[in-house]
Amino acid sequence: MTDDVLIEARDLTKLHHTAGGVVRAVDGIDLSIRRGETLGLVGESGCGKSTLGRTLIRLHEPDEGSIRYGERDIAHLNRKELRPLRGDLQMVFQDPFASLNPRRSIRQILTEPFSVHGIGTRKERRQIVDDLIEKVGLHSDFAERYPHEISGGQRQRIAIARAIALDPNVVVCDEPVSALDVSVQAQIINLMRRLQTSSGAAYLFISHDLSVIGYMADRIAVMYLGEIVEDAPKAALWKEPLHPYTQALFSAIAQPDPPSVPRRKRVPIEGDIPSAINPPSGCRFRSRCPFAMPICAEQKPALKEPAGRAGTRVSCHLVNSP
Amino acid sequence: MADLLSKNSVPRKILTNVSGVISLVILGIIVILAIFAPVIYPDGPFEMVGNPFMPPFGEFIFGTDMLGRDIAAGIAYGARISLLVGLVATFIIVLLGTVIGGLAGYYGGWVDTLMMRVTEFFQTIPTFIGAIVIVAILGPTLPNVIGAIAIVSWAPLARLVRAEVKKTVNLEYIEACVALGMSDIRILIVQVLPNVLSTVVVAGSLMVATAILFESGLSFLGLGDPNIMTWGFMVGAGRAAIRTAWWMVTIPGLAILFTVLAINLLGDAFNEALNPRSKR
Repeated sequence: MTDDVLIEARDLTKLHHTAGGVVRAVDGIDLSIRRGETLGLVGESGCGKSTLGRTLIRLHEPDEGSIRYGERDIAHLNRKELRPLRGDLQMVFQDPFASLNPRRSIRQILTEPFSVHGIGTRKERRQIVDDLIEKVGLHSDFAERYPHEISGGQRQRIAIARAIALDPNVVVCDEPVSALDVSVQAQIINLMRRLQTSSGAAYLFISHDLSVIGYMADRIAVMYLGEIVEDAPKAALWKEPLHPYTQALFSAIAQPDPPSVPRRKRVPIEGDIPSAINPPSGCRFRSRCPFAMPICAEQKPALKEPAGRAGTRVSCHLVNSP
Repeated sequence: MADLLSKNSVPRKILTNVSGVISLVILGIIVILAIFAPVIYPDGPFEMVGNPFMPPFGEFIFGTDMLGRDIAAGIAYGARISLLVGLVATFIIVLLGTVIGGLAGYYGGWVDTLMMRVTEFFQTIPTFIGAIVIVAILGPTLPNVIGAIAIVSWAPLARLVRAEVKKTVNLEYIEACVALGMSDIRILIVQVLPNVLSTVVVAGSLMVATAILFESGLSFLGLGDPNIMTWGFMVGAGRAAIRTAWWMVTIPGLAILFTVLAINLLGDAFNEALNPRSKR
């Protein structure tokens, strides 16, 4: 990997202990994001995307593996050690109605990042917050309003303002537009692109919507049942998705038809995502894969670079013959 | 809070609510009575001021008891004790319930398990019998009565607060605060508590009424402080003469009834005013 890698996870594993058993929500994932890069993370709901994002910025503590941020492994730092790093690692949440405290005004909400980290005097913070609100495309009058007095799109702008307040290096966006109207989605995505380009931060953009991901991301990682099955530059993935699951995801896009998968080559995908408590042996996708072979049940495919496709990693026996 | 009387403020909502106004009027009378008791009845409630067994609305507005003590004076001085017991006991209950329920709900895990086992232990004690036992062992003084009421009553409130805190803590805005590096104490006090406050206020206002009933019950059974005139004690003492002198039981009984009713109505009014979904 090149030197401008900002954050890098190795063998990252996060378990959820549930009544039904242990769920390997994130299972041995390797992932890195470079400075100024947006990594799109796509997958069905329940595949562990959100858990991966939250673990990466240490809202959860991983059960195994390491997270290298700058010079340090932050995987097992305690709350106190994490505090000075918190401003660098931020998150935009999915639901703008749940991510803003209904009892606090916009000004109070946006002042919190600065008061927690002791930045500025009371007077300076007023000015900073006004600037911040204008930076996300709202009028600074919004500061005195309460979350229930503004629309969903405006709320998400405020949530974005809070996330970028401390000039973070890594921003995890967990389905930031999926709760919004389509017309508002485009505005928010444009805003995030603009902010990302001007800040040079690394973004992890989580979505189940390939068209949204395609607009935001430089590189796309496809996740299935806690694992990454394909990780490729956007152009390459758009041109030729290699993993059957990725192909199936593209086939499932309603409109418009992506040129890469003509109708005759459509990959059908049937059934529901299997239980993460008891995943299929070998390749996890084999139970729904139309191309499954005997070897898929016996041997787990490694995530590696196929011949002639630098920068792409894929875990499939079809592509990387063992 | 400059908008104290603005359209959607809590005081205004209560003042425009019928049961809120009724309860405030009744409570206002009782509070005034309690404050000015030594002025109106400088002799105190135990002074024998007239003949025994005088019926009400004669020389003395509420009559006298079997020892010739003015029942109206007893009502006035009893109001002080009822309000004092209700408020102090509720304060202790709310403090205990919020701290224990808040910590259990916020931290979860073993902290939650430990605190909820302790809470359940207190919940298994039959409340009134528990209070009787505590007062019987420690002695019938006012602080003991208040303490006994608080000890047997805090557990349900702790569970309520825990449930509310648990609900709030799972919301994304709390995660956002964690992501900003905010300390636990600050998250609990600044972010979580204001969202739990309306529940606590409503439950707490009803708790005042319960505490007053408890104190009356204990005094009725002779477990109140013998040096203090209380409504429960008056009902208990007048019980022997209920066939010949109905007013000795009825008047303090009505005082308890109206006070408890007023507090309950106020609790309902708070509930309506603090509920963000209420239409008014």
